[in-house]
Amino acid sequence: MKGTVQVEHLYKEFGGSGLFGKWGDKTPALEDINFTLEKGELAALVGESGSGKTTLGRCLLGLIKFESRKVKVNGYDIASLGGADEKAFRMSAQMVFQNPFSSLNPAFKARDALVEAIRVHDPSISREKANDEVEKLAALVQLPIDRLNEYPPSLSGGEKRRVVFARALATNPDFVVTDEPVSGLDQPIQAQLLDLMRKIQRRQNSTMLFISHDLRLVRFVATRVLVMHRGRIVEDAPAEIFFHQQGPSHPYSRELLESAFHPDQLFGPQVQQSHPERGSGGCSFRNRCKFTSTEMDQPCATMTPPLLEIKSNHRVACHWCRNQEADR
Amino acid sequence: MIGSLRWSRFPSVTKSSRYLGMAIGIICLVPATLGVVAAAFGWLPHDPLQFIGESNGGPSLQHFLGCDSLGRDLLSRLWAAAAYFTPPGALAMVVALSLGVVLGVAESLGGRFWGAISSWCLQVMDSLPKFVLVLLVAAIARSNLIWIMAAVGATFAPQIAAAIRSSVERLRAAAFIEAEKSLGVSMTRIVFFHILWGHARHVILAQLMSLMAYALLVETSLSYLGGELGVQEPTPSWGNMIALARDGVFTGNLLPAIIPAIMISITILGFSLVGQGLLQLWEERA
Amino acid sequence: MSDSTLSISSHTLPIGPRSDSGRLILGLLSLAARELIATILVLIGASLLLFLVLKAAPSEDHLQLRLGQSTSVTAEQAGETFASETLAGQYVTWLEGVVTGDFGTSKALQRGRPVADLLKPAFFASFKLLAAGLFLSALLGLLAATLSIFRSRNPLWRITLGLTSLTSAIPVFLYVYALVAGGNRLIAWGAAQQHWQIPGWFPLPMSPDFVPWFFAVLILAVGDGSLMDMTQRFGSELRHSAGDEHMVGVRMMNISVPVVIARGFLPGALSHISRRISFVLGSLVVLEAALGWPGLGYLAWRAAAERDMPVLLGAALLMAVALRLVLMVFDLVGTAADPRRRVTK
Repeated sequence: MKGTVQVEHLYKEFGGSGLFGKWGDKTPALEDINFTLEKGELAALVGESGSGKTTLGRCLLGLIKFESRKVKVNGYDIASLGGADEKAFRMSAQMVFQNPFSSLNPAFKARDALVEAIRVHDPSISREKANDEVEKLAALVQLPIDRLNEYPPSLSGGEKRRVVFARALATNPDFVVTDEPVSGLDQPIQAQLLDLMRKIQRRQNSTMLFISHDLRLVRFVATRVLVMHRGRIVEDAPAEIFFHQQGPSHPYSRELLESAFHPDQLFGPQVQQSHPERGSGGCSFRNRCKFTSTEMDQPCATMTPPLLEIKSNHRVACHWCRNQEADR
Repeated sequence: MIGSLRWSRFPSVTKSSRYLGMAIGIICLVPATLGVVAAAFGWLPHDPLQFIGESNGGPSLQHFLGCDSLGRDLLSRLWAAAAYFTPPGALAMVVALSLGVVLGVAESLGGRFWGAISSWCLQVMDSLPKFVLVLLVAAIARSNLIWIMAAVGATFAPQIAAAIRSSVERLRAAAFIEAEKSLGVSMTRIVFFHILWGHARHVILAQLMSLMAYALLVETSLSYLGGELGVQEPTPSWGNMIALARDGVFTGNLLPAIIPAIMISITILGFSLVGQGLLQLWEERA
Repeated sequence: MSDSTLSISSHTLPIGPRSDSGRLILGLLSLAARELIATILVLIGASLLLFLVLKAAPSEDHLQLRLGQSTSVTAEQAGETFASETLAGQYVTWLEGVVTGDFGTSKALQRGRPVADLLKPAFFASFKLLAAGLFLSALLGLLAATLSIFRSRNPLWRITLGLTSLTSAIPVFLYVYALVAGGNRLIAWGAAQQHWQIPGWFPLPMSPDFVPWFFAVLILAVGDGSLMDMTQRFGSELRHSAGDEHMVGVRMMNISVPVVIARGFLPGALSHISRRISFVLGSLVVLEAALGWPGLGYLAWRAAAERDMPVLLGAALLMAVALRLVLMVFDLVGTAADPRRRVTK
């Protein structure tokens, strides 16, 4: 069970006002998320900003409340986490947060942050022993030991990322969510950090969900690609198929891939179409889709496409793709 | 127009002037601290309640600051007053801190329901004029300084809570709170260690300093005004020492009135300057 | 092209678009309605707190509350029936009287006189003094803060700032003592030397004539730490509103800098003043008590000294009501000046 993730019918809404949050408008953030990860997989979660990638990551770690039929991470039921279970789960699943500037408390030294991460689950570890562990961790993420005694504001961007990464590794987790772990860094340092991340993940044989908006980075590390659009997973494909064999199927995934590798060939002068309102039914991508027009295709406008398998291990949520596949 | 005037984008308080203010503040607090220490270890030069000297006697080797109109040693009374005020003053701090922390944390982190309740409590306390509530308690408690200072502390809780709330609001969006949560750090530790100790301690300490200044002000004002509300003779208080010596202006005995007045002013100044220095220290870190 | 980008970015500045003044007024009205409800809730809480404090008293002081509150029965009978009620019943009975303007009768101060008769004239005298004191304090504080921002490197200015702290650290009652004792001696000395004639308000505390009144306002504005607090808070507000990054953009777009500073400064400054009122009310009590001038503060102090609970409670409640209403007005003005607060409310 360790290192596996099973998600069935996960929904998340934001908003609500009033004394108990019962009134007012609610915005659906995640709708009907289904997927599973096996041990040792490095799955990439890609999509535009606002598509719900980070929200999904936070849901998987039980940091925010959500509704679902079943969400199991490392064998723990996230929806009913509590007490001793929660402690054990927190040890076995970690997250590397998006913003390294605010994800370290600026009032405490980097060393203290790591010592806390080591001692929080086992306070019986002495400070000296924890310090040794911290130095081992620093060596693991290739952080010079003298930098540990700095306060976070005086660390460089790459060093902060390394500290954050070391903190996530401190409890030896089976499942790690890394949320844009290298964004905002110079490209050589990005490559260095990603390489390190992949090596550590392979060595510890842990499962990793790599959240990113940059497909070039994803191609470099991922074994599987999940594409999100407007709160839904629209494509779930092995990286081999996605990047190397026939390529992605969903029109949005195609657009993403083309814009990442051939931005010059993609768009002529065209008007950015607004998306249909969330939760209104129909495919959320239909206004921008190249292969359909809203008035002609009934199902795209009225029926939300379900995420169905078109080949083994390759699932797509698109009416057009399924028709193509059926024609073939 | 104003743009042509000289201004700097950053706070213009220089390091030296900040430490100068702090240093002056600490120096101002020295006489009162000396008094507390002397009284605590029994080093007072004379018994503050005994009529041992000459009425309105001037400074001499026996009595460094002279005697009051009843012939009691002025320096001993001055120091004893500081010592007598200290435990109730500390109580005011404890009351303000505990009430302020509980209500402030509940208001900003207690969810909608408890947040609304504690916000209402704080507003209720804030809407009553502080000194009048203290007067009410003083009238009921028959000038018992412990109760009066507890009331002062309670009326000051909204200030502490506001300091806590503003730092929580500032940090709520910071990712490190969520990062600690995902590490499995308990909410209590996040609130008290990471937020309050890590980020709010200067502001809270500064508020406590201004609370001490205010408590001293209330105590001396009540004791000076009389009406069986403040500290009663023969127990010494800087306020009732001035009240006793207030006719000295007309008979030429200025010292018994002026010295407690100076003590009050410099001690209040000391607390305010130290508080201000702490705030500036925090403003520069933030 | 460049015009359109400028007009878009100007909306992000704290200068609201002027076209939606109708919406602003509507929004403020609904905010005012909500704040009124909140104010009533808070005032009920305040009265409850006062009542509970009084009930906690070891003596029978709280029974004075009902003394003569209704005119149909004698005071003793009313007190007896009041004592036999439950705690909640007593509170409701008392609150009923207070809401209808019946604060009971004075027990010691002016025995038998309705408290409302005592409070009404006192309230206006004190309100004038308080408003003038706060205004002067804010004015002096703003002056000092402005100078401390723009002329901070001048050593002469540092000395002035230090003197501000020093004068502000002196309590109000010491100022009053010095004013009464020193002022009277000075006037008498000058008259004896035939430098001037004895003014009509000699000796000093006797009447709130204009000159003594002005001195009282000055004392209220400076003493008890008022001036120092104002200077410090206003200084930090000014530094924030004048030093924000957007000031560069403001100057590039040729928008009036003082207006932007004022709009950034006003909401914070108003909330500092409103936080200060509660303290200045305390200073007012001490000032009136030490000078012996008739007013709400003097009344409160005399009532406390003579354990006249109906009068003390009436004064406290009246002050709380006035304080809440002033805070509400300040909040509305601050919200009108600050678009950000309009959005979050």
